[in-house]
Amino acid sequence: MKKSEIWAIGGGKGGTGKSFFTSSMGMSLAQNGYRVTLIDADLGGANLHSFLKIRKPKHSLTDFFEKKIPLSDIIITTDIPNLRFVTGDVRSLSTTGIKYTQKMKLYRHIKNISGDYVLIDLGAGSGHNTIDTFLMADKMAVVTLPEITAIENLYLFIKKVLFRKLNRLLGEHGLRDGAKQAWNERKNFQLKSIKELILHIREISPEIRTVVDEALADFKIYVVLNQVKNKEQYETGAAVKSVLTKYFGIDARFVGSIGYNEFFWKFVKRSNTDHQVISHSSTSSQMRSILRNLVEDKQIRLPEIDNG
Amino acid sequence: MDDEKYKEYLLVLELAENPSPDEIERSYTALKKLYSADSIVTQPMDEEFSQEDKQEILDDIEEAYQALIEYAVESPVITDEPLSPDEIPFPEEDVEEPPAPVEPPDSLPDDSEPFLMGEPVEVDVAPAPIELEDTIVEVAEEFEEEGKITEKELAEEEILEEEVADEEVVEVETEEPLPEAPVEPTPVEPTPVETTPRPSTPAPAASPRALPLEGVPIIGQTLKKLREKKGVGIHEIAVSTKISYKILVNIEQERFDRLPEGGYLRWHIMTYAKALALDPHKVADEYMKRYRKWAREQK
Repeated sequence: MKKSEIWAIGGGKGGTGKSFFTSSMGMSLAQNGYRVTLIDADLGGANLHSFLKIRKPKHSLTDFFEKKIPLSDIIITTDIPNLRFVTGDVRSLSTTGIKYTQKMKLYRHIKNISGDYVLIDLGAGSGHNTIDTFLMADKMAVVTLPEITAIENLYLFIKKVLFRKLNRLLGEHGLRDGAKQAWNERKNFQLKSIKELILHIREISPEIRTVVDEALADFKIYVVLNQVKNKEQYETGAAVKSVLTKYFGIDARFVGSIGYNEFFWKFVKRSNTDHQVISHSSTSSQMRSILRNLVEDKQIRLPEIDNG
Repeated sequence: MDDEKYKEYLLVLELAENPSPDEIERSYTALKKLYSADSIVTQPMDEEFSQEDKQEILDDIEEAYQALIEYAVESPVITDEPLSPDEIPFPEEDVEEPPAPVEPPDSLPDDSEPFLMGEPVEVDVAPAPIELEDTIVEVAEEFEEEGKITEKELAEEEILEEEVADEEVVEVETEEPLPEAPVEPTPVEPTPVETTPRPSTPAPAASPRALPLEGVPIIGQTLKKLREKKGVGIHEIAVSTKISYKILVNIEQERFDRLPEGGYLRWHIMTYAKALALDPHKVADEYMKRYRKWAREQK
């Protein structure tokens, strides 16, 4: 059976709308006939199931780790055709209590989920497990807000992700903690930024340079801007992409914005459930546009106002 | 500009391939704003990225913009094939045999035109090589008037001018002789300056086909106009002269801050002038006057 394309949605700060976004994307894909598995790894309160109108599932990933129940038994179907679901449980993917081997086992299982797409909601936080899960995905997406603390957290998140990736790479080539050491001694090396750190590491040897360059060529971040209230804020998406490209030296792509009204549509009518919100948004033109960009690997280069 | 440079510029301005001038402008404006003013997007990184770093980014953006907008506006067709001899606008002095005397063309531009290009001249002998000594003396005298030139610079210019002379010799050997058809002078629209009558004296020995350029400021804009009149794109000049596209643009735009200094610049101007069938020394003299004026103002 076909292996799914894995998307991980992170970004560091809680409350940016990652769960909303992930479930909306999942639903939209399912409506378009794709077979989707949603994984909720949200530390802040696994609530993806409420977006999907499911009662708290019987089994979670904790059972995968503790009771060795295979992943296929933990995945449940939902009311929505083509859409299946796995809940992470509060503890399972966020703490460092999980052994490395267990984590790798989980990743192997996730990579073997049959279907078209696996969407992983990482929620808030940037611990090792969150970051490793982010890095194992085929597409890494972040959701942020046009607001300084969210953006600050996003940069911190990306830094940690890059760092982790570099460390792993260097470790594989016999330079364990090379990146970490260089960073700790950055004053000696006069490294001000992570971009300079990378340049420094590239100079260690031609072999390392090749390895680092290959890794960076492969390193793409898809940026989603949520809760946009006005025209000026729309520019933030492309601006964040620009800073990530120029300051971090990575391939960042802006895939779209979600309007504030879109996100808070549920407040229009008090009785609107989260599920109805998702149902509504998954068909909105903004969401569809973002989905298309993610699926087709396209990006928005200049801010475009979508009034849809 | 070469493919790699083009791609680099696109990356800097964050554009997809073949951007329209409008897209280039919009991206340029947005990026300039982002890295000059404070914004919530750059602020969190201010500790790591100083004003200096931002300025570097702004400089890159500026350079990319200048190159791409020119490229987009010109929409040239670049081929890798070398231009055929007909396409390269080399001045007649590169011909091995002296050109047969030609009748003046019917449509002579009227006297209000300050100068011509490719005006046929009767020559009895092969074009005299550039008399370096005379030239250097002329130049030196000029410099004495205007300001100091170091001996080193003089020597440099000497070497470069010899190179230019050498080049001419080489070209004579490899070039196919140009067809004998008369070269049509292309009248040039005068830039808004007072017109001067064409001098009746024959060309001085130093340059066999001195063009009456007195009274017309050879500014970058003039070169551009001349080039356009000839229907030649910057890229063609770049290919035939081996001068980089960027330098040619900066010469035309008189972006002195971005041009190589002194001797090298003069050499570039001379080569460019030759490609436009102009007297390289006259053109260079005039242009360098402006350059030196600017240079003095920088101090």
